[in-house]
Amino acid sequence: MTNWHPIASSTDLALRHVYHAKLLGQELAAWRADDGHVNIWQNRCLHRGVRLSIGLNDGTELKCQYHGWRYANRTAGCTYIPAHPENAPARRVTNRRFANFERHGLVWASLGADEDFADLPEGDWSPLRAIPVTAPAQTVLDQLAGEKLWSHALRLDIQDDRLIVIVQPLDEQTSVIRALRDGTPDDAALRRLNRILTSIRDRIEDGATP
Amino acid sequence: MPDPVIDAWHPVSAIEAIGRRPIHTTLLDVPLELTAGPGARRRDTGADLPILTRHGILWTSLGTPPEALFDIPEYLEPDRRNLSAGPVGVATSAPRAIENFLDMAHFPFVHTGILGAETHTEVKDYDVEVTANGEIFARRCEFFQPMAALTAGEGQMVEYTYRVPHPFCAVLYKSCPANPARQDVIAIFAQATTQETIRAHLVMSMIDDVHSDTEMRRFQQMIFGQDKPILENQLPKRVPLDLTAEMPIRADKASIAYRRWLSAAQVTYGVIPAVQS
Repeated sequence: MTNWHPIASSTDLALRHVYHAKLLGQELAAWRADDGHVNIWQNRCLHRGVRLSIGLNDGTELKCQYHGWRYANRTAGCTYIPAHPENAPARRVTNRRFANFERHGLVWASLGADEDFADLPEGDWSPLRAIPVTAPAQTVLDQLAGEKLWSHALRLDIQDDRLIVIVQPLDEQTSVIRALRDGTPDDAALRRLNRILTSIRDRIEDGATP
Repeated sequence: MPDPVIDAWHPVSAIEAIGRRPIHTTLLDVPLELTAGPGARRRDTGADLPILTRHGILWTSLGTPPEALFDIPEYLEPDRRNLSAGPVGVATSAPRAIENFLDMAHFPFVHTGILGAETHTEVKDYDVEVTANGEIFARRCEFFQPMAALTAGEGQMVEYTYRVPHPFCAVLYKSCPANPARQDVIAIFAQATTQETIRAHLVMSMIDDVHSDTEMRRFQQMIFGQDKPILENQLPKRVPLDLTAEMPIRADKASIAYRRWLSAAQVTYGVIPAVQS
């Protein structure tokens, strides 16, 4: 359970887009192929280290901007090296992949073992706006009073809104608050929760400033 | 034994950019002041530094530099257009910028429609050697270019020679569209401000009777402006000298020779040294 973290909203992985994510200091390139499969890879081309998040998602392959190396959906294997068009790339030219799945409008990834995901408490969970915080995940978690679900998540009621708050550790200094609300929020609820969560963020950042 | 970086000459400004007001810049983490005359001084200790004016550039050194800097004989030919463009600040190490300069395989993807086309991506075999005086030369480098220079009317196969005479400087000689008997010369002199930031001084020595200085500078800046975002998205910013850290292909012969050469010269600035086994 503790290896799984949300790294993006499902809507961040828009058609033919490559999303730049980060988890525990590891940069990730996340992209959805046209068949719906979500790829989460180390954010570097194996050749010369250029970020794949600036690459092109053509629906079936991700193409590096620097030398046009192509990596396949699902396998992350390099399919084509344009500088030597007549030579098929060796099988070891395969990028590092990370286990992932989508649930409750979030894309979850694990840098470690592909362990079971114990599902969230019963509810019609719907994601709110991701709120980046300039503070370590643990600091954010310590400031939120709620019922602990696992190391990075808690159950929290704010007035009539039933929430799960998950804190994504970007690196040692920064994190993202990803909250889920029970029931699809209307505009008034989105505004209300945005205001509340933003003020929580501001309070935490003020407290985190030495 | 001289340090390969501290005791070398380093580019710090185009000579024409030095006016009456002093210029503040940084070299190898050391703050400098450049003055008319020209002169160079450390702003931390106040010490005066040795200077050299060469190839349109002011050079200085934090250590004990050799008497001479490498030559570019073409620069002295009377009918050449010698121009500097830049400097361009880039958030990467000097060796990453030099490697990019030595690389043909990126032309179709980074300089699409100008220095390369996606219909012609192959890098044919070329020769690389380290000469007796310790410079890297890559010769017989051929590539198809839609617009090799401002003087090129149409796409053509272009032949390049690359030369690395200094850890952070590289010079290229390429077929000159205006005169098949001669070569255009373009150089990048990287001023390492820190291990992971540079100011790139670009120098041209061209055969071109048609275009204005502004047009020629603009062409060079457009090309380098396409390289800059790629360089700034390359990780790690320092070049790994362990040859297994990244995945080279045959087209990277020049880059491999350069990494070996940096290792042999015991350069540690702007690189990740290979762990000695």
